[in-house]
Amino acid sequence: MTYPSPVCVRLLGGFCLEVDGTPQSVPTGVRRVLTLLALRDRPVRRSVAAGLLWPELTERRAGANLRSTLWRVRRSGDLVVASGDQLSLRQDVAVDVREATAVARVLLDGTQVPATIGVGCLAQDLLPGYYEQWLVLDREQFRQLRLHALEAWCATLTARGRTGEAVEVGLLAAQGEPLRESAQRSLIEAYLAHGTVAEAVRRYHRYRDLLRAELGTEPSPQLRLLVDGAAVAARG
Amino acid sequence: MHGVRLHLLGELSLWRGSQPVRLPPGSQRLAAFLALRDRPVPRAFAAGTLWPEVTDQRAAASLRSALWRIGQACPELVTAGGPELSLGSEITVDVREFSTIAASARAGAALDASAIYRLIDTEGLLPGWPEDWLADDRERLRHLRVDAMEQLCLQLGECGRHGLAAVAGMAAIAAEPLRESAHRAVIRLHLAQGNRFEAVRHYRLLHRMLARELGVQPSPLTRAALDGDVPVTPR
Repeated sequence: MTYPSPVCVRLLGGFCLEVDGTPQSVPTGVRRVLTLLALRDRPVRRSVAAGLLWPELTERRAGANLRSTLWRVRRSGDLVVASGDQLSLRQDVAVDVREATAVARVLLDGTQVPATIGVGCLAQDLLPGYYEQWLVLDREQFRQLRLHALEAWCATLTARGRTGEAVEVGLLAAQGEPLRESAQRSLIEAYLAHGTVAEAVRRYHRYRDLLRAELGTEPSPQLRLLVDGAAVAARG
Repeated sequence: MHGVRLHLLGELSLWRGSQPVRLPPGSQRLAAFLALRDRPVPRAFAAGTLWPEVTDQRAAASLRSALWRIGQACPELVTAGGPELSLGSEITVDVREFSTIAASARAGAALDASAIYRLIDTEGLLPGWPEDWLADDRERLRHLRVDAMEQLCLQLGECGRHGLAAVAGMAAIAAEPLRESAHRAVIRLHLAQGNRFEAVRHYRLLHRMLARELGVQPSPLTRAALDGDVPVTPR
């Protein structure tokens, strides 16, 4: 993705602060404050920010930590606006997850099919590998949006006969969560529409084996019927 | 069309058509106070609520000054004929529109995608304002919004619009992380789509969150929603 804005906070696939296209090195505390504000579209109260970022400290210590971190934020460029007791990211700072959310909503809708779209922005989860508590729900919220959007897009492309692209998008969904049946189903349907029955069957078997190993369950009968029916038809 | 609109969700703003109208702080508070009430308010009550820390006389003077400034900036905003004050009858207030949409969603009405996203993206009532008299309305609107989104999650799931349903359900959870009924709606949605693994995964997320925040387990109702044993394989 390219941004008109010179400053960009990236949270998909990992944290990165870019100024004029160059990644900046950012201390941990500053990273956490920027992450929190980038995830909230609206201003965050200081006391709320301090409580989220330093839940194990007393209110006073957390407030002091926030103040010293904000001081360091200012030194790394004036990216945070403080108005009264509310903090927000400067208006012109671009945030990749906000743009990805907007794209995902269009795709979920299914009525508009953009001619070309950067698949990249929906290829990755929000800050994988960061285990901070306040991130858990944000991450799951984006994860569900991303996977649903990829599935919806895959189905739309399949229905419109753009099956090569459908397979590509379906693969992203299935990679996003290999144990998610709706993602595997989207991909399998795309393979079938693309005329690659063998790929569909192979994909189904891999999913089935994974499900047995991880959860001790079977794919749904509907999915099995879909694949069996296609395999029988292919054998003539 | 030069209708006057008053926005109280997020920052306060007043618009005549597409032109912003500036109000000084005292007038802003008076407008917000009246907009949140359906009936006319006695002057003394408005003055006492909006300026609680000064004498009645000073409060009445502040009220007069706020009214005078409103009269200069946007005369139709407030009706101040007799001993009572009310918001002008032609003023559109975003809170009222929001309440109507959210209440119909809560009652099970079908909304189109743009109305759903409007509900989801709605900000709270004047979030930066410390005034006590806002607290109840703020709480009521927050609750209404979460109720509406949870209901939308269930209802959209039933008509097979799983993606939007997930968006609504996760927004309800983000607004009220410990509300188990919203988590249940999302778990049921995953199951309705054949995504058993996602349902189990979400149950585990809820389990960890409840244990950490409240030291309790998910309720039997939530366990029952999973409809079977919860596999223990960590992942």
